[in-house]
Amino acid sequence: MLFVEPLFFLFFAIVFAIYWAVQSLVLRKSLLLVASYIFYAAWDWRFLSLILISTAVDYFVALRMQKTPSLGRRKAWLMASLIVNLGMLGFFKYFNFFTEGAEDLLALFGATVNQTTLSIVLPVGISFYTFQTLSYSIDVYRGKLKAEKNPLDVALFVAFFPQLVAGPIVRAIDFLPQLHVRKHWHDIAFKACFLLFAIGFFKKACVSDNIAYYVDLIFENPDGYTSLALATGTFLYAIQIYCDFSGYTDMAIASAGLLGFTLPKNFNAPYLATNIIEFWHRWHISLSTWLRDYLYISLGGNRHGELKRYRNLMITMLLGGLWHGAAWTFVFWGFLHGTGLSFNHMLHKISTFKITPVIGILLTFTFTCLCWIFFRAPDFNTAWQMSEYLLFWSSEGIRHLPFALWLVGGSLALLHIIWQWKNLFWAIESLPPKKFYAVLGGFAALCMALQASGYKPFIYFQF
Amino acid sequence: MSVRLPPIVKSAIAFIAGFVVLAILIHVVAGIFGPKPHIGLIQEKRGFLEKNGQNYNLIFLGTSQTFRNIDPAAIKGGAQCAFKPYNAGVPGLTLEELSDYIDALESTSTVNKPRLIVFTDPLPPKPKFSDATNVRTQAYTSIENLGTRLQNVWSLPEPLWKRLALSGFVGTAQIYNAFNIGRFSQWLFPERYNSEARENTSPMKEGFPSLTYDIDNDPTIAKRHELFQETAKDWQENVLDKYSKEPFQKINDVKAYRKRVRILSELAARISQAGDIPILIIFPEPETLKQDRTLESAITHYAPELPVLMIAEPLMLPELWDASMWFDKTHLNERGAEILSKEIAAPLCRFYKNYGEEN
Repeated sequence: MLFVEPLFFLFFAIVFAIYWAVQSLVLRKSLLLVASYIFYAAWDWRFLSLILISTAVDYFVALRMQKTPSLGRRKAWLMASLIVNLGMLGFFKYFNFFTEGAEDLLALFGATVNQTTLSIVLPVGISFYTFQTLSYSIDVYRGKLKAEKNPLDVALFVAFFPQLVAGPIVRAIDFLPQLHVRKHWHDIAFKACFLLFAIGFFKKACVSDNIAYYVDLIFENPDGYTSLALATGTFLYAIQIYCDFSGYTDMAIASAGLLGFTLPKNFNAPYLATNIIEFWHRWHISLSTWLRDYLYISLGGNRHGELKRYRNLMITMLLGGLWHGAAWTFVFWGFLHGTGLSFNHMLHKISTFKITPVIGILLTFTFTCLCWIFFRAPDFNTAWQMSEYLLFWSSEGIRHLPFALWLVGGSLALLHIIWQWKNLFWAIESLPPKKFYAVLGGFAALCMALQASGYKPFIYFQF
Repeated sequence: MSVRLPPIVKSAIAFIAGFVVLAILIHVVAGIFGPKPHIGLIQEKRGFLEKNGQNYNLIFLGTSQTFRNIDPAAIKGGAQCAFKPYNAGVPGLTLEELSDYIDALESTSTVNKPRLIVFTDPLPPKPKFSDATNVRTQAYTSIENLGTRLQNVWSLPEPLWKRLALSGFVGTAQIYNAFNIGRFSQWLFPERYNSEARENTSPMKEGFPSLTYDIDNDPTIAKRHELFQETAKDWQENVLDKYSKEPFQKINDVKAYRKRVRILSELAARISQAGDIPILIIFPEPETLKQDRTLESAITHYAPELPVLMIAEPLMLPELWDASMWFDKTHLNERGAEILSKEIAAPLCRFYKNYGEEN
């Protein structure tokens, strides 16, 4: 059930209507939990068991940690949570990756082992809800948060449907308090929510899904295309992944908002970042802050000198890359960003030279695009080949992509800049209600005309 | 007396007004300036017939059964008439599409007229959201075609719930069309739609595809064939052997076919009015086991003037009641098509000659 499908609109309308019709807080939360499980079961009901296990373990572990004054025991309980959650994630997402890696490593030393790969289906959203539940256990362990006694609240925190399958990764410290308060209809910012949902829909269904076709063509067969076409494909992929993921996030935040919940911001015009450090403050913010708070800082952060900072940055980004997918291309993508971040920090340290923001934006965007090649390519060979063709402008392919795609991409980029510069979201939201809804209706009609045929799953669902 | 509307109602009205105004504007703009997306095989064959229809005197119009079962080369070899046959079969052909095809035929010159037009009972709309919204269905969805699409559904001898469900899909297609869904997308990104529409890339001979090529190049066709082969032995023993021993005698509810027959009869009348000779063909379809003589009897009863070539009878073409002749349980393979085409050449020739003598 995708946010852009009519089925979701029907599902949400029913949930929305019952939710606001019911007055009791417990009933409302129960309804949301049932709806969340139905939403997840629509993907694959079998994997609901993993969510239930994760919920039960973290509920129990958090309560035990709170009751135990002994640091050793608290640590042991935390380890139990880590083992269960990361164990499930590791098995379903990384089993084949690690066994193949081990076999390749043994083969280097002349040892041969039987193939042990399994046909494992990746449960949708597992990377997201695993990080979410882990943040709960770790925060309780660190004493930042009190364990929640109500199992319903913990279950809803883990499974809340608007952000269950692709984030934003919500922290318990931000979400659980929201479950203790009964929402009021008049507190809802309907205009902002509807507008945000419409923008998310536009990004996903009208931009991402339309250009996906051309991106797929390029990455399936880079040899056949000219260097200009490869550059176009890479540029389009940068747009596609941004519109796909931030579109999902917009719709998730808007859906949650209509039910009275606030989810954290996940994107802040990342392609307008003037350097790579800033990029990571603007791209997938809920993941980058999670990695910072639970991994980078745990490794020591920047507290033990510059070299250790770079090492910690690199480890964080390598694991961040691996979080996206069980392939070396993702790890390398993380490595490139780790290198970029370290280089950027080093420059700040040793030089006071500053480039103009426009040059900074262009350089950061180009670097990000080159990194996306490794993120999107099906394997290393394809990624290397594409990078080589682009960097040396050396492709011998003869196929082109329509030039109109540059016009489409350029128009979108211009729209994005004006949107940010003039704060058009606020300008539209501030219109009087009648005008606002008339504009929204017109925009909805336009979105439908621009919508691509068929529904493509969100890219981040596979992570 | 003035009525004060609640704010939520006012907002809803404003939203709907904004939506409707822009939807109408888009409809008009796209209708005038928007290029039509390529809708695949049906467009190619229709275009071919418009240009070259006068070069043929035997044209087969129909669904995937026509597409896979009629080999024009074999017909030429099997007939004593100087037939110049063309297979204009298209998988999934519905009533409005068949009707449009007849329009295309009517517009061609009269050099070879009267031509023998062999047509099949068209299919109802597919009960899938993706089929209601794809470019081909959308190309045939309009207010003008709505009556024909509903007539197609409501003339089916099917239970009420099924006809209601199919009407729902017709309605879905209509709403999708009214909301202009994807109209600008097709305009801005035509390559994608054109490639999606190319449902068959088979090298064709007079409209007849190469199944061998399709199995090698089209994963959907390959999978279908593979699934068929897995069950072919059981099918042979439990269906073909069992039902091929005796002629079909069963006649069910003839009344239920009344509306269907009227539609077929109207199609035939249009072909006649254009100066061609219509004949309905009923192919063997052992998969469904619904094979009976009800449609044939209904035609005899309600439209005796409509000529029918009934070849579903096992005793008429006994060689076909063998699993090795089939690509799947509904369509023949190239060998089966060759046999069937040779066999029907003679009766078609007789019918063509008789018609000429009578008129």
